[in-house]
Amino acid sequence: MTRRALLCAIILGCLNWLMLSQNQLRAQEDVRFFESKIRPVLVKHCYECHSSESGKARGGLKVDSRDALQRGGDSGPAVVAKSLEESALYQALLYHDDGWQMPPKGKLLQATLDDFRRWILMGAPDPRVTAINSNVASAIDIEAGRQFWAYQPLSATPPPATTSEWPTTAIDRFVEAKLREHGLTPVDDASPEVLVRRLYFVLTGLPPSPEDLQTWTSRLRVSPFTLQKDEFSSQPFAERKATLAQLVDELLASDRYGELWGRHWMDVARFAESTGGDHNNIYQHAWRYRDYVIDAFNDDKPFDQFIREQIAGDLLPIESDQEWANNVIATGFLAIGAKSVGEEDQQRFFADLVDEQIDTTTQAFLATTVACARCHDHKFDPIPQADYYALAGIFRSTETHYGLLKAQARQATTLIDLTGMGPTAGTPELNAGQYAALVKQRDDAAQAIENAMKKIRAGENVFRGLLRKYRSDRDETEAALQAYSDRGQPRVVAMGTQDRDAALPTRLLIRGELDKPAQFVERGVLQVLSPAKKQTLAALTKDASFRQHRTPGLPSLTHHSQSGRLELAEWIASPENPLTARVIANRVWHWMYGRGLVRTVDDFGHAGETPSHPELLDYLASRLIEENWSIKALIREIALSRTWQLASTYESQNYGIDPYNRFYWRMNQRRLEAEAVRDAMLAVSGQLDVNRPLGTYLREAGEGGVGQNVFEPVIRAIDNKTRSVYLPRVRSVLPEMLETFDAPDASLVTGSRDTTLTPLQSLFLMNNRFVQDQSVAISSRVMKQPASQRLEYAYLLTLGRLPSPSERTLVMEYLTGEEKLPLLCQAILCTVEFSSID
Amino acid sequence: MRSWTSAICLLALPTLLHADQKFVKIQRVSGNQVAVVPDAGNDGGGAMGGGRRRGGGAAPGQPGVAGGRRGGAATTQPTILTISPATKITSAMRERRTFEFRVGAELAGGLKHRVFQEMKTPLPARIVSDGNQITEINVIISETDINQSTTTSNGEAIIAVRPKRPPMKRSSAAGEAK
Repeated sequence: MTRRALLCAIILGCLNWLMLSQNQLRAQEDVRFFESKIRPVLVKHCYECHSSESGKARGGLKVDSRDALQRGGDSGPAVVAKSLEESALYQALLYHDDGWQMPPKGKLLQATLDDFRRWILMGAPDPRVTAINSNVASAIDIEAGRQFWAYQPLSATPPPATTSEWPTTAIDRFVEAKLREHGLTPVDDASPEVLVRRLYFVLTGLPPSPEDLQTWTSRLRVSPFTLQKDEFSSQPFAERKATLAQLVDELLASDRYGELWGRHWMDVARFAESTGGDHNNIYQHAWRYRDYVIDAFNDDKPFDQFIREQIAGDLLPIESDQEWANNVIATGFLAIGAKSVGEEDQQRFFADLVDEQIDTTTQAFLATTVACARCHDHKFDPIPQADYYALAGIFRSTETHYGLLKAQARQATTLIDLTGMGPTAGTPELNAGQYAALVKQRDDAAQAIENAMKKIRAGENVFRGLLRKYRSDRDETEAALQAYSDRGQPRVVAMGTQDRDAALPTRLLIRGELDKPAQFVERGVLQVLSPAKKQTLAALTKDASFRQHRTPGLPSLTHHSQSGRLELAEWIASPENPLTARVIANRVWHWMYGRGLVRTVDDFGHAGETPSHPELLDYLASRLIEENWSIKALIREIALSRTWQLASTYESQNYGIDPYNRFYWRMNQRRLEAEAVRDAMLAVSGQLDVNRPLGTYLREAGEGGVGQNVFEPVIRAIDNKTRSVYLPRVRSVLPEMLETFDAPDASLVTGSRDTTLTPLQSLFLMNNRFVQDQSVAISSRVMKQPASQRLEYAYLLTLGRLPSPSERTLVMEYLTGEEKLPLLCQAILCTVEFSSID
Repeated sequence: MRSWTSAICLLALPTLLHADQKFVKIQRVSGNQVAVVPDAGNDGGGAMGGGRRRGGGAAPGQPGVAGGRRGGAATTQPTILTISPATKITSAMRERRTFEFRVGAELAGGLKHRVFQEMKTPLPARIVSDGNQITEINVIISETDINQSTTTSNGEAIIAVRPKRPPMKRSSAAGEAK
């Protein structure tokens, strides 16, 4: 039996090998045909617009690999084996008179067309499979790169000695030394009114009420509103400093502080509530991250902990479910970025998602543009391409949960369910009737699909778009239903990240192209910011200095996460990382002054600028670390420096030497942020609602993409009186006022906003209904004052000062009747002074 | 019986590996070894893997694909393939309307991924090879989102998953040096 079986097998084997060798011969011929007849034509006529080499993929099509050709472009597969009709490439070559003609320079010879015809009928053999390329080496000298100022450890330079009486804090001594060095003298201190108004706006984003203004200015000088500048200056500085410290502490303790400074951070974290791009689908749950950030600033969460939570909150050790849920919500930082959710190629989408996460993380915390190294070694900074893929390995091993519905976005994911873990729901409860109505909607939608499918099976024609709509309706109502328990109680879901069950091995990609993989790269961090040979996760976790700064409460010092995200977060948040503390100290300085010590706040690399006061920057970074990474403590120290309390007055000699005020001889006058302009209007009109709204206003806009289910005018017209930080933040569709006054679109990290002055802003202030309504409300407040005090009150309320004699004369001439008061109030709102701080 | 099996595996292996790409059904995964049989009902719509399903038609283009089906007994007997760690293992799907074969995201853990460990029925897949080396395995699974979680291609919208529990805080040495 065995012998017979073997005999049969040998005979069959011979036949099989014979057949195989024939097939092989045929395959070799096919390949020769492709190489001699097809590839040269593609190279000559098509690569210019459709290849990786040219960097172009017109119509989404590339023809330089087999996979790309099969995948095709926007119009479907370019080549379908043995089907001339379905091969879009062949149809285009035929030059039929339907506008679908390739190559654009002229029809190919008939012989060439015959070759393509034969090739496709052969089965379109194409040997250009994705091959593993040889290892890519880097020419970057990391050791030399470490010498750059930003990668040096923090210096411990003591504040310069001085005999002058001007400096009152260490910050002032650093500033004064630079002023002296450049022959500059500081201008006078700001007046109490200016200082109080400045403090209110810079720390809370709101103006002081006339009563608060009066209280604090009177405490800052003997006789309010009548004292001369010199008298203010002559007041003992210690006493003034104590009063100011009290005011600063009061403002920092206010919940309004977190709303403004959280908003600053959201610019950096490119916070938005939609995906952006062509589809621009709404993130219904991004608001949880927004609230997390506001609370973190109000609670003065240590910044190193803030970093760890945003990058790896889901992996941090916990004490309670509430803490766990908050940590998961913090990882929304990695999930809220812009995404091309309409992308068909899942691997390309995933690569872009990871790229966006790397770009944001490294720019936000390290002010380093690591994403430039996706395709090649960084052109300016010592970051080899391998470093990018070492980080990519960490993010590739991470699941990003950002939600969306499959029927509305090709690349949708689930969210994270935090029901019962502590956070409050973002939607009101449903009663039995409402829940039943939702169930009915879902069932109706499912029934509509069933009916349509029956028709299709019966041979009837059903419009595909209609079927898509039914599916979208069903998924939407199903999702809406799943947002509640069967008793109508809302479930708590959030965007965020989770580790994969296993790490994904990552290859370096030549030119960043998925079909050009080279060597595997071990997960790790940036070489230039790590001790030599300690950049991989494996080496890093064995390093004693790294272990010294690991997260408190870990089960052990050798504990490691599956993806390496925890280790990445710890590495960034370490006090030994030379960039982290410098970058955030510089951001805080920027938010206090309107300009950083390093003006390129998001780029500390060679393409960025060098610090104007390097020792001061290091001093601030060191102080931040000493104060347990307390942002409030750093703000307090800056606000109480004499440098920060300078007036913004012009001084010709100083201006001649330092026109851009790089050395801080005066305070920078600056326009308020868009949110502060709106909030200030609401505040002075008495209309501002300081309560935090439940969830997001986008709840009313619905699931789906802007322009499909969600209508742009609905978002732009959302009308409420809450602070601007709670307004809908849809990419490309900002509320009108925010857009007009330069609120960023949140596609990229924006550490420094642009400030434009356009006629549109003036026209908006003069004609917009919102501004007019606030003017009427202000005039109502003013009218409640005794007639003799109305003018003063209107100025105090809006500009934080009394009118000048000339203003008084002009206004009195203008105000002939009550009906003109709203117009006067609007005129004040239109002034540069209202929307700027000195 | 074992001799028959060995003989058939011996015969089928070169046929299978010669192909640039081949549609198979994965029957079993054990360590780095995969038992596959050619998938006659899933020819991929052609060597391109991009065409429409043509029920029962000849597999166009690729001799290897055709060879697999012609193999008679080989279609029912599994072939054992040893997969190198460098092989890229991804999810894949058939487009609902056009049956176009689409490659999805990489499966974390490769052959240790739960789709293989918890597999109850054979998994249709495409094996891409370059010479004698298998470079890619694209497995058709119903879970098609980039997290391989529970959003299915059937349109079942499961909107959220429970998070994985992190460790509890301990008063360990970690971080105390601060």
